[in-house]
Amino acid sequence: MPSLRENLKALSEAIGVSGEEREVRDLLLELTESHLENVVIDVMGNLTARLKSSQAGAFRVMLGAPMDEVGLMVSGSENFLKVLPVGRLDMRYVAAARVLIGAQKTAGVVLFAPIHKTHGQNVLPEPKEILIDTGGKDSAKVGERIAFVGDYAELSADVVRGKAFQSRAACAVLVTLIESLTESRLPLDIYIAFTAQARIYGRGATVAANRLKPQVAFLLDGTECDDLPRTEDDTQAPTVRLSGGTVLRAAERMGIPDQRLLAFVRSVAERHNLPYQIDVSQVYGTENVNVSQTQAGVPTVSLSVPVRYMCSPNGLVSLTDLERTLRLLRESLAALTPSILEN
Amino acid sequence: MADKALIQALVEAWGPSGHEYMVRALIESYVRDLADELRVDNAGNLICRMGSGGKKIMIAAHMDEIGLVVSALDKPGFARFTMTGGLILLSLIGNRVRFADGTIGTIGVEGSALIPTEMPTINQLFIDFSMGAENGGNVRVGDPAALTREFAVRGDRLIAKSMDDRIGCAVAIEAMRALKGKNLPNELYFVFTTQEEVGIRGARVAANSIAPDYGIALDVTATGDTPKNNSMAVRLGYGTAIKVVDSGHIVPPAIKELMIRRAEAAGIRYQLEVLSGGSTDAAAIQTALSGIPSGVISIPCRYVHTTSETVDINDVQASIDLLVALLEQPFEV
Repeated sequence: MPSLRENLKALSEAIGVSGEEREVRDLLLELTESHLENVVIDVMGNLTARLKSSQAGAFRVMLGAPMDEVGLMVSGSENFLKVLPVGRLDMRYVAAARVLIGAQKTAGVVLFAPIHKTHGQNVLPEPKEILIDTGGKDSAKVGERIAFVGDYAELSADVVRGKAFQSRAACAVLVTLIESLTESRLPLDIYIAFTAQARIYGRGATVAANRLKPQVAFLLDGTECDDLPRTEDDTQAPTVRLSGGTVLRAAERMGIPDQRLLAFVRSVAERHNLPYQIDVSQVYGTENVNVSQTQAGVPTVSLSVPVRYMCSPNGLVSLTDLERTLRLLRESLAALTPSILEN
Repeated sequence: MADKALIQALVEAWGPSGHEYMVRALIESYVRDLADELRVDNAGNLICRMGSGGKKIMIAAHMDEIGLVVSALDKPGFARFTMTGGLILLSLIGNRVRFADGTIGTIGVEGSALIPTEMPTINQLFIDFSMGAENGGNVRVGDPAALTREFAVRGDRLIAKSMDDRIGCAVAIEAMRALKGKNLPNELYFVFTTQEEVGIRGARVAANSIAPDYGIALDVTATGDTPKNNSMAVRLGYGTAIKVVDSGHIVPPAIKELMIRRAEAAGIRYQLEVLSGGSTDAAAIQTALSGIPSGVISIPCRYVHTTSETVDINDVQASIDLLVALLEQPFEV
């Protein structure tokens, strides 16, 4: 069985721009299929299944992790490839980025005007103005996805660098958790959702939750760190540090996570001496917003892995954070009873 | 005339989005004996059924108020925050907030100027909770807070924080009181909803589980009757407002016409509302399941989303009267 570290590397290196997650999904299926039943790949591209070691009729739990990454999509060609953004892009890294186009993974670079030859127009382009230089090749088809290149590397024994960690660190944790739940069972009815299209408004998660109909949902993902050097007069303390432990989100712009579930996971972390960090999201929302509004409301909480430079192809994660998140979710499931939702 | 003590208790209760439990407990104490059946769902909505058989009608008023959440700690005794719902930055400096444990915080702005000369961004504001920890308060990242201000009366004007939408809750409770003991032709679901201010989350979930035939939201609307303001036709003190359209919802003409018919038949003073900013629970109910025709009874309110939201008690009473008139008769759309 590959280790958490090996899975993280393979998952990070796989390509899965929102809406075209096949390569990541195939890899996840290969890693987990022997533990799963009722496997469905739905119209959105989600991979949903029931854990074989589940207990029928018990409390119905959904464990989710997103599969996709931001990227680009070919929209036309005139010497250079015209493209559209897929997901929210930070143009500071997109300018001059290396890319891989379509299933053939044709190499290209984002057109980048050098500062001394731009006639004073050295400003970043808008996401909709990006062009791709393919060195004269003209084989890309409209609609093909384009991924950013982010080589995987181990920076230290604990910290690794790679792309798409917002999704794939969560996937790696969930894969190991699935193995662990197969080895030692819990009296829960457990359903798995590797979700598609998380980076474009969490569309996949809505459909996955409607299919699985959980009574409670735990969603794994990544959260951006804010532990970079600050100016001396900036006294604000960082809320999310790399290697600081699992991030629990107390509020999002478009919704507040289930407070009973949040308090429960917090108490589990404290009981097991697992460090955690409370974060408040300033951006619109995560899959938590989607899942919690399905059916008659699903109590939902997110457990996030801290990722430094998450919105670039050079994310950093701490393997210790991944292991702590795995342990926190595992211990939370072991202590989970329907009674935490009373009051 | 509408129950001022009820309104005061509701507006002074603490309940930022996602943390409505104190408001819910308060409302439960008023409606326990009025409802035939009462439950709290997974989203925290309080659902009260009255009557059975006939058309299922969901009446929604939201319990949550705009608020803020501690997003980071700063120097000892100071915290940074983010908004839950549409706080107006201009109205915040010098205002006070209250945390769940009662700790009071003051909102200040960075820098040494006594009066800032430029409009600050939210990242330049902070909450001062200094000395709070010594007195038992413990402010942590993720802690919610709400603006605080006492209820005031000036003639027929009622002034308070959180009129949006506790006045809607008051209208619903008063209608339940008026309908109690009557032979109801409809199956009514009075729903006190959660998280309206952060994306209309509670009402959507409640509509999914109740599956009503029709929806009615009770909420405040802005007015166009203050100096140099001709943004809309609604005026304070000129009756309840029957919504025609807002930025998230076009009321089906048949629902609007039914409201107008009932108001005219009962001699209830009303005005028609066209609101260009904001929306209500009805927008979510109307698009739930396979579509649920929904309307809104609006209570005209000046200074919405400040701590001095102002309504007129005659408009509140007209809103109660219209809601009762709609619900005590068959819902003939």
